[in-house]
Amino acid sequence: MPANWQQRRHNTAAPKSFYHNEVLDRYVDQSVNPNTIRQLVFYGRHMTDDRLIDSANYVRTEITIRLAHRIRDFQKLPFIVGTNPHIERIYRMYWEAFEKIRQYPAIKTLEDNEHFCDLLNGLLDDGLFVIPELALGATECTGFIAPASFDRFMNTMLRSRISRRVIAEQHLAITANHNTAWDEEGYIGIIFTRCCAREMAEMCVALSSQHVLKSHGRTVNVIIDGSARNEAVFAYIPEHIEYILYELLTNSIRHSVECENSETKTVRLTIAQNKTDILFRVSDNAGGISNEVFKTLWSYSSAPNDFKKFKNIKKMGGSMAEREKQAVDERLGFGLPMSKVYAEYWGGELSVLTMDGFGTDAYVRIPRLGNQAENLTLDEIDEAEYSNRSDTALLSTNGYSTRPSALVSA
Amino acid sequence: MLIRATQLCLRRSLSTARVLKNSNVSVEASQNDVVSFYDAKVINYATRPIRPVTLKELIRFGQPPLSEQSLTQCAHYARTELPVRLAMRVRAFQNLPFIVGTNPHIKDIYRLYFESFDSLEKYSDLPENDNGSDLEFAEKLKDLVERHADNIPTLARGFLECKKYMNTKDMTAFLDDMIHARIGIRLIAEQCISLIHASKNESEDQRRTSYIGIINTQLSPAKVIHHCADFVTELCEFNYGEAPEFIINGHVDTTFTYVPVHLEYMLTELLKNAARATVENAKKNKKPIPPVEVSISHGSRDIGIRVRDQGGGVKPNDLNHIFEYSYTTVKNEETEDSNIFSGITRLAMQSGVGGPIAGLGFGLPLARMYARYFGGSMTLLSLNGYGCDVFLKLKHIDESLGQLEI
Repeated sequence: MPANWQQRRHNTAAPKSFYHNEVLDRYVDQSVNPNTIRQLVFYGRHMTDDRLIDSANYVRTEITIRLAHRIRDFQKLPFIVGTNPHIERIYRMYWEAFEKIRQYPAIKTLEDNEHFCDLLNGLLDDGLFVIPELALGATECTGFIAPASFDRFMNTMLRSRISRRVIAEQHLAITANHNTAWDEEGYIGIIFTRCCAREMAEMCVALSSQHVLKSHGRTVNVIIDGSARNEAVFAYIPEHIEYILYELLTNSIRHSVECENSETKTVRLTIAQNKTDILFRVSDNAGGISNEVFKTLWSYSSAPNDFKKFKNIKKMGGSMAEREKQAVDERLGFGLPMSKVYAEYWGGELSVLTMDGFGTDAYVRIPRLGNQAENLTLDEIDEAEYSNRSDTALLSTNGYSTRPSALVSA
Repeated sequence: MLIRATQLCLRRSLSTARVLKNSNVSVEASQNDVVSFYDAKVINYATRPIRPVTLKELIRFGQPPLSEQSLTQCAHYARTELPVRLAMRVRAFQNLPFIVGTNPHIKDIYRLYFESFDSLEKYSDLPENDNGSDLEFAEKLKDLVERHADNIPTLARGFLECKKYMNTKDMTAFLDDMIHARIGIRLIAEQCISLIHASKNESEDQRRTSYIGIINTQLSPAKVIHHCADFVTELCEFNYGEAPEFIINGHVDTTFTYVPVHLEYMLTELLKNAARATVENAKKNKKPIPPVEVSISHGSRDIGIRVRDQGGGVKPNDLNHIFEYSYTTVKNEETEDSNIFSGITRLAMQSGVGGPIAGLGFGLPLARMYARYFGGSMTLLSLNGYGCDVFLKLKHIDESLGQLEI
């Protein structure tokens, strides 16, 4: 334990008294309001001063409620886990953010909104510290909490984190658009209404190839095929898809390059579409994943590399561009679970199957109609049922959703 | 090759024709001819405990050099165990709702099981070293295996007709048990038959040294895939006029220990589905026919076979049901064909090795049951609008499965 842990215990915005928690209860009792992309687009299209102010207040109350729910999740962790310094630090950060935004007065004018946006920006920056800290906490807590429980906690945390960023960034973006009266073509806030699967794929292929080239000195051929026509467009937050594709492609390319006869290896990205979904498949012949590793693919607390590398990484970006700027040869071990959270966020799926000794296939399904609500919490799923999912090691389906899969059947 | 295929189809479809034709025949006369309520023989056997044999023992029975003793043990085991298991199947039928039990197809199979039980029962009390009757026993077994070959299609037809009298959960449970037990019974029976014959015919035994009964210790997945692909290609060409190319890659030289007939069944089913979807999809979109890719992997714990097609995929609504019994995406077409070959090959196209299942929806659930039997799995990924990937994972039948009970 660090020498100053005694001191740190009292140096906190977290409630010193058990009874102060009442303030949290009020917000935990309120339910979150998930959005759909369509709703966000519709709202953002016809922006007026009043609507902007309404949006600011919506963000204020919604983030408060969502933060409250997550703080409550922290409080439900086993006590010993809660005393882990990393987990505790995040817990304190959450309380600080919660108090700041809870106590913020209602926004009434555009000027109020400007100040509010500063607050939001600050909160977003602080949030970049969360993932590395959680990861370090994860590895240190392995013995004290069942992996399934911890995974559930982490997924809920990450999901919620994305959700707060989505509504905060959306508000910041539409504020910026409103001020400058200049609309970036096709963008409504952070949603791009003209996402094209093939263009995104091509960009991610180029970027991930470069990344591996930089770190390993060589790359492999990546072929893009499939049936999606160039003109198939849909509304989505591009960074979400890019994060996933970048992660999957980097994994495949890197593993291919590390093979003995890497010149013969190819990675294939297949794009498909139908009325309701866009589908991506990343296929490689880089030798597959062994059973031991495959069992822990989606787990946060039993990753083979133990997240020790996180000690060197203070800030971890949630977008592909931010990640790319970081140390290129660090294998952090969070990419896959994060990709799954992104994939499932608007009701999609991510599955990985492997043929040990041959290669791996990753499948992504992205709903394209924009009518799926944010996948925010797991409250409705029984704890017991959730922890039973850990032994379907062969299969990584739409994780923790009770919705039937539109991708996999086994 | 085609003649054999046609003969196979002909025999299968004739039995189906018989099944289909008899669907309206009344069978009141035979209502009481199967088992009398007071006949205690079945109960007697059905309540005996099952003595599972482990895979290890099953293999050990047939490990060369074949000894008189191990054969005797195997035969003795089969003689005493099979009647018990058959009796349990009979009991299972007796527990079906009355109305379901009166369905002629279901009754047919019920009667078959009872008769099989009856004919084997007299061998079960013979002393262990009665070698003279072993050969006779083996012949009887062979005959029974033959007669039971078309159980599944007949049952399928019966249950389809009984859909409104039985809830899905119960039906699924019955069929799961039934099929699982059937695989085990056949395994024991065929292993026994094979060993008894092998011991009587030494030269043949030397020729196929990689076999231990019906288990092949050097089974090449690539060879089986080629074989099944050829069969499917001919069927496809007959049915549609063209067929997709099958590309086989990965660890093509690998071998493993498995029951060849199981693998053949599963692969034929998967390749047929892939081919049918590919050709129909290509024709619909007026595009050239893309190939079907089959990849083999040899991992530390299992053999993987992936069948990848561009047949348009499976719709999300269907996806949750494809492994259900009696669920099918095949449209029932009225058969007005004058060409006997086209009729048969269409039936065969929609059938499994176990008999024509003319769109009765048993192919995939059955194949998956085979995959799971030795601890394997079958997973289907659908890129709706593009194609499907089916992953077959099969464990090596070796020491690690030694304790698996049949």
